Amino acid sequence: MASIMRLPPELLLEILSILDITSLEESTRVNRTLHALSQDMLTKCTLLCNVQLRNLEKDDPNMDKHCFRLHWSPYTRDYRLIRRIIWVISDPETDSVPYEDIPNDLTGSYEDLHVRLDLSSCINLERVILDFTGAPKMTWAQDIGLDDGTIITVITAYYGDDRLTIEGSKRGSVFRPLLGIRDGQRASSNGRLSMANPIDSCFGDALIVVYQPSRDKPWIDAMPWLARKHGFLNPSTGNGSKSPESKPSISSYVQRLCRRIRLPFTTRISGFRATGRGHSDPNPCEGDWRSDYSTTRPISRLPLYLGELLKAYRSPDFMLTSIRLEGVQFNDHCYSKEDKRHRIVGLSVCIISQSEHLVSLVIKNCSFMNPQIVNVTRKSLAMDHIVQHTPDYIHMEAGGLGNYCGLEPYGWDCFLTELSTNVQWRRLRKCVLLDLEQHSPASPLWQGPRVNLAPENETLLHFSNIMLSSCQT
Amino acid sequence: MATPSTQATVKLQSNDNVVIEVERAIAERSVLIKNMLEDCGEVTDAIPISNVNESILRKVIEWCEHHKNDPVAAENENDDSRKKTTDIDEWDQKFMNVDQEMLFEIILAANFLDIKPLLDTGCKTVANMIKGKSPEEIRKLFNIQNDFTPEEEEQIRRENEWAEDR
Repeated sequence: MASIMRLPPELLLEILSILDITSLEESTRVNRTLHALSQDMLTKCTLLCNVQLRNLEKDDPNMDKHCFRLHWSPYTRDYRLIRRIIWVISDPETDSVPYEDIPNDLTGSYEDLHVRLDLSSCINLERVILDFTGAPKMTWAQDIGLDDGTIITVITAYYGDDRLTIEGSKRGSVFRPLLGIRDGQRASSNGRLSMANPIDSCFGDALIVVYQPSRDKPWIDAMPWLARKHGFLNPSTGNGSKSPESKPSISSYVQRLCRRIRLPFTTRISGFRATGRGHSDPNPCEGDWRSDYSTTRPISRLPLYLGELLKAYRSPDFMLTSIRLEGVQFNDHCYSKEDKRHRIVGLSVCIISQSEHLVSLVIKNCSFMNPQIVNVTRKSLAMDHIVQHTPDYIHMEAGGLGNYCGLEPYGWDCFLTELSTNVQWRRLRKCVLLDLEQHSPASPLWQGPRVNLAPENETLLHFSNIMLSSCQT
Repeated sequence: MATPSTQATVKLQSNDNVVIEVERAIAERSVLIKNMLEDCGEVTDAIPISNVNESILRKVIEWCEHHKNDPVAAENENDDSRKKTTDIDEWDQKFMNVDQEMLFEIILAANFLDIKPLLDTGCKTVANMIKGKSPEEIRKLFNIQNDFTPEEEEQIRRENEWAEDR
C-alpha cells in the first residue's frame, strides 16, 4: 500500500498548510515526521490570545483554572478557540495558588490580551469553532467575563450562517449572558432587553459589540461581573483594583479596539434570534400584550443605536459597497437626557450616507424599537439642541434627505420614503428588504393586541424596485 | 534569447520511454515545459519527463487538457488566497478519485512539472482525507508506521491536552 510518507517534506508541508488547526493537532500524533512538520505549522498559526479565569470561591481545594486559547491560522483562515483546564493545586501551607508556575504566555495580564488581539483578522474566516466542551459547569457569563468582547465579536460576525460552530454548550445558554441577561432577568417581547440596554456597538472589520454601562447603581448590582471587569480595563487602576469612586466605563476598551481595526467595504450585522420561553411572572395586563409571544419567533435582536450607526457610516473611511443588516433592532431614541451622545437620526440617513458607494443593501428581519415612545422623546427635545449638537445631521436633513428631524413619527414608512425619493443610487445592484417589524404601541401599558405596522413584503419589494430603478436612470 | 515558436504540438517522453504528442498550449500548463520551450524555441525532439511514467503523464495531460482554458495564475499571486479553501471542483474530484499510489504520483508529477493548480488539487484531496480523522485512522489510511516511543506519545498527549475534554 502506498504511504503518504513517500512525499517529500515540502509537499507534506503543502498538505498540512491546508489543514485546519484541529487536524494539525491530530497530525502531530501520527508519527515523528508529521509531528515535526505539524508542530512547525502550528507555531506559525497566530496565537491571538489566552484567557484565563479562576474561581476563587470554589470549595474544592483543586482549583480549576480555565484557559482559552484563540488561534488563527493564516493558512486556512480557521479560527479556533480552544478551552483548556489546568488543574492547580493550592498550597495547603499558605493557601495560595501557584499561578506563577503557569508559563508567562498563559498568564499575561488582561491588558496584554487586548494588546495582542488583532480583530482585523476575523472578518473572512471560513469557520469558527467556539469549543467549550470542557466547561459544562461554568456559566458563560463567568467564563467569558474577561473576554466577552472577543467572543461576542466572533459570534456576532458569524452567527446565523454555517461558519460558526459552538461546541459543548447549548446555544440558549450561550447567548443569554452575552446579551446581558442573567438568571432572574428576561428579554421583553418587543425585543428590548429588560436590562437597560447595556449594549453599545461600534464597527470594524467585524462588528464589535461591547457592553455599555449606564453608570447607575442598578446596573452595577445587576451585573457585578461586568463591573468587576472594568477594574481590569481601567488603565488608571492598572493592577486591576477598582477605586470605590470609579464608575463603570469601558470607553477605553472600545477606543482601543476601534483604533486597531481597519474599516471594511462591507458591514454585516447579524443579530441574535433568541427563542423565548413563556414568562413565569404574572402579567399585569389583562389583554396580555405578550400573548403573541411564541417560543419560535425571534424575540431578541441585536440592539443598535442609530447614532452609533451614523457615526460609523458617515466616517470618511467608510466607503461601503455592501450593507447587510439582519436581525437587528434599531434603537432610535435618546433614552436619557444625560446621554446626549446618541443623536436622533433616522436609519435612512445612515444608509444614505453610503449611497454613493453602495452596491448591495440587505435589510432583513429588523425592527424599530418603540417608535411611539421615540416620537414623544423627540418632541421633548428642543430643536436648538439638535442643531447645536448635530449640525451635520441638520445639514443632511436640510439637503432634502428628510424632514422628520426628530419631530415626526419615524418608522419604516419614513425610512422607505427617504430611501426611494431624492436619492440617486448610482451603483446599487441588489436591494433586499424583507420581514421588517414595527410594533406599535409597544408600551407595556398597552392592553390591546400588538400590530406590526411595518409594510408587507410586497410593499417592500416595490420600494426596493424603485431604488434599483433609480440606479438605471 | 530564442525567438518565439509557432510550434503547434510538442512531444513528451515519459521515464518508461513512451512519447506522447500534445498541443503546445496544453503542455505549457506546466511551467517547467513552458520555460523550456521559451528558452529553446523550436523543439523537435521529445522532451524527457524523467520523473513521470506513461500512465501518470497521460493522467496529467488529461488534467491539462481539461483546464487548458483556465486563467494562468500570476506567479506572485498570494498563496493564501488559493489555500484558504479545501473546496475542489467536481470534475477535479472525479479526476482525483484514484488509488493512493496514483494520487501521490500525480502530486509528485505536478510538483516536478510545476503545475500549481494540479498540485493544489492533489494536496487538497489528501488534506480532505486527513480532516476529521484521529491519528490512528490517519495511520491506517495512509499506511503510516507509528514510530513514537511510549514516552514520546505521553509527551505529545500532554502537549495536546488543550483540545481534550477533562
